[in-house]
Amino acid sequence: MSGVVFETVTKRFGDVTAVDSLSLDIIDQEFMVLLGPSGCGKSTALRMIAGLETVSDGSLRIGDVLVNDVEAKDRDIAMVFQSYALYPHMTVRQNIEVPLKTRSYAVDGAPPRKLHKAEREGRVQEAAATLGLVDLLDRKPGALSGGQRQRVALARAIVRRPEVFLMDEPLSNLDAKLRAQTRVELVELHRQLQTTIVYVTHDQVEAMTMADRIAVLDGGRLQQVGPPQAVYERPANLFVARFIGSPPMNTVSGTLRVDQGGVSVDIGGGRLGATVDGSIEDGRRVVAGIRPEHLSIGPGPLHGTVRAIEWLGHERHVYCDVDGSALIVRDTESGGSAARPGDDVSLTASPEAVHVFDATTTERLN
Amino acid sequence: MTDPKVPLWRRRRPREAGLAALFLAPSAVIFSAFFFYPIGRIVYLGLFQQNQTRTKQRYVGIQQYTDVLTGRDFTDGLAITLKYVALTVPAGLVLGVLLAVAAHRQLRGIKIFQTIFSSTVATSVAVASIVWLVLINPTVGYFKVDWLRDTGMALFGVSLSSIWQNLGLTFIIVLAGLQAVPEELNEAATIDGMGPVRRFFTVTLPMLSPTLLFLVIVLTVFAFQAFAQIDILTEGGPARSTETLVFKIFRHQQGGAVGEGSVMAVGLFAITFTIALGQLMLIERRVHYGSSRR
Repeated sequence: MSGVVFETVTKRFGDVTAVDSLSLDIIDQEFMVLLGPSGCGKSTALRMIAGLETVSDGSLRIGDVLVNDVEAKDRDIAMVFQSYALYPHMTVRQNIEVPLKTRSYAVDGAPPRKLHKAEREGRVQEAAATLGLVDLLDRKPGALSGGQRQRVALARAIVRRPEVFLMDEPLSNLDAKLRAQTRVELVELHRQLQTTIVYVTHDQVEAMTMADRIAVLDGGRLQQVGPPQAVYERPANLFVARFIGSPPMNTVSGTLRVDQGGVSVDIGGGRLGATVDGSIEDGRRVVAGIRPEHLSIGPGPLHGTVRAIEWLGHERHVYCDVDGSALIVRDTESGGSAARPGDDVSLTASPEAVHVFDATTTERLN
Repeated sequence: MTDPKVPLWRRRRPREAGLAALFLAPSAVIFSAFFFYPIGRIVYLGLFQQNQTRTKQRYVGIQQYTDVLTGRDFTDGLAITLKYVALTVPAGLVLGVLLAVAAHRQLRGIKIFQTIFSSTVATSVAVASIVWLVLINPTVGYFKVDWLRDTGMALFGVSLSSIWQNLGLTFIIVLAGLQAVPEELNEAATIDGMGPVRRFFTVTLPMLSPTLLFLVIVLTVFAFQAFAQIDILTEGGPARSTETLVFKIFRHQQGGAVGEGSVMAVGLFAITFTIALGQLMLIERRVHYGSSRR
């Protein structure tokens, strides 16, 4: 078992830079999620770990080994593909057995060797039992449901007992209910296996629910790394702030005012109190960000009209038109206001809940 | 609402049956005129013997079938045809796969090679035969060999031309088959620890098997139907060593032995029909890979 270290790793395809000077330390036994929109470089980063893409620049290590020039078949990693990539002409048993037949394994500390048939069968049974596939071993992938195929792909990965698991959007072909269930199972599997998992997704819910740490990427660049809660509560820049959270964070442009009354963001119609540490000059152009759950209807500096209300059972999303931009207020049904579409409302937020970002650099200021 | 398993004539609504018959009529007419009638006619002709000028014929009955189908000429022709199949089909298949694998990669200018490799598709049998006639000419040829006048080598010489001519088609179909193999399968195989050779035999070849089966059928049928290349290169000789069944049928018809030729044609039809049926059953039975959901 080992971690994965990117040191200023760059990947270029012709003129396109897919991954730009990525430095990321994935700790041993960590569940790391690479999160970002499509085209952000997360899959390329994963494929570099797998050895399916070469590294253009920088160094990539798995454990202590520099793997820039190590071929994919010689790396001790396993991968679950989005399409599962099961061998359609083989049974489930044969699919799971493939990596056991092709590679050598160290048994009981002895030098690596090919496994005997009985050893292979034992490991296949074990992996199949872990994922509830014992009854399906003699079927072919074509006769399995999507969820079952996904589990076969997982079994083929865990049977190797590799140093690192790579997963490329493995849940995106499942329906919503199965996806939620599999999320929990993957977390349990991770606890059971105690192995490093690098997991790529564009789905923030998957990232938030499963990750030990999230690495947010955009445009080939690392935006922020941290535990889900930290990334959610203190997004490092506007991109992360807007990308993480559902419904997304509300953002309003304004000017930072520092005076006797403290710090506030002048948003034209009023001033939004904020807390900013350190010395920041008065008059800087900023963007204020407020999560929907921290915005509430009541006397405050933001004035607008209610455009629509979504009722979700456990909460309501109130869409308000404020100076042409749509702000979302999320309130719980019991404590919510009685606002109706068309009503004029004022919105407010407590200063601690206001995130302040530089309008030019988009970096966080508070 | 109509159950397709209920035969046309048992359907309750006559309007529907009439409409169906109307739609079927064009192909029924064409098949009858160019397929069913000739078959019936040939079976009928096989019961007669004709004189040289085909002005008279006399009924000889089923005896002619037994005589011809067990006769030396027919069995020789069948043996030569099967030998021709054995010479052309496996070699053509292997070469086609090799070329397709070689051309199935992302390299600058690979399209040029793909075009060259598939170009024999646009070549007629006659042209291909002439090219090879010149290539293996003992005096002016590139390969100065006298195969076409050697009873032991003539069929091989004809096979070379056929293999070459069919290679374009084999190449195109195998290349298409290769391109249909999902790239992720190869990547998964790489990560599972396979090198290129093992990957080819463990993943690529099994995935290609439906394509290859199809090609075996097509190439076998081509080999059974081969005529022009034999006519141009050897005219069945030397010493009838390249007379396949089709060529023998042709020779009999030319020589006025229409009855005998017809019996052979029926024999050939029965053989190819059986082969086609067998291959069809094989296709039905095989598992369909990579169905709609991968």
